[in-house]
Amino acid sequence: MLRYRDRSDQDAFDQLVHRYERELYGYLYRYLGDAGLAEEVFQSTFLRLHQSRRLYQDGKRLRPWLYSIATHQAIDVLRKLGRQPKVSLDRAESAGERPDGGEGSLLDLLEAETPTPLVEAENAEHRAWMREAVSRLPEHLRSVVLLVYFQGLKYNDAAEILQIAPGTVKSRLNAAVAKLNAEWKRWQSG
Amino acid sequence: MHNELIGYLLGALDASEHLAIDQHLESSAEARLQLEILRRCLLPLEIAFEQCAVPDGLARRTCLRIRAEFAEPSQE
Repeated sequence: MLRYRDRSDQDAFDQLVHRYERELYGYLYRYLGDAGLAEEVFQSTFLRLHQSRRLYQDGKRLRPWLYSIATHQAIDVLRKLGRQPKVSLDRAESAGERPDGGEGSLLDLLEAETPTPLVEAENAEHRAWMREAVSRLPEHLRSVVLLVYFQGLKYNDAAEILQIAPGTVKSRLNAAVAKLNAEWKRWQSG
Repeated sequence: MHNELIGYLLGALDASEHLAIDQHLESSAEARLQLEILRRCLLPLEIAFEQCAVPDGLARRTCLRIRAEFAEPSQE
């Protein structure tokens, strides 16, 4: 970013776009739930980055800044469309190792090497349910779920992006997980 | 501690916080039990696990668009 800011090195900018392509597009797709909108906001995010490059300060971390621009752009687009987000829960590859499921867990079903049509149908139903459940979360909870859980960001990075205290990110994520889990249990028993 | 354990499971803590939780878990059976409960609480979200396909040429199109928009000389 420094090379681009100081020397307008277009190759450096191109490298940045390629480096964040998968991660940032994944975030926007999850946030907006629409491939076309995600691409539009992805492009406008880098357009804004280009326009704001002189504001980039030495030592400032680019990733939270980029996410912050992307989040604001996505919120603006949804606002203009008068739309609620349609969350997509495809998960980022960068999120790291996931916990193992216990005996007979849903995760076991998902990890079956050759899922039967019945299992595939159940998985699709579960995903649809979870997509709706996350969509229904209040914005302040949904944003931390997307950033920390699905993007695999650290608490501190999410706090910087959302401009809130790290402790607030933690408590919001805790509240979101508790809410989703309670609704999940109700749905499962219903 | 509850919030820290979720962060621990998701890898959202910084290195020093993660180490502190590691040490706490070694010495506390109650914390290990809490961790297992939280692990199970997160399972519903696990089912949403899917990879996200990026449109072909997205980065290239983005770079070309930005070059095009800023390459035009001012008409003033």
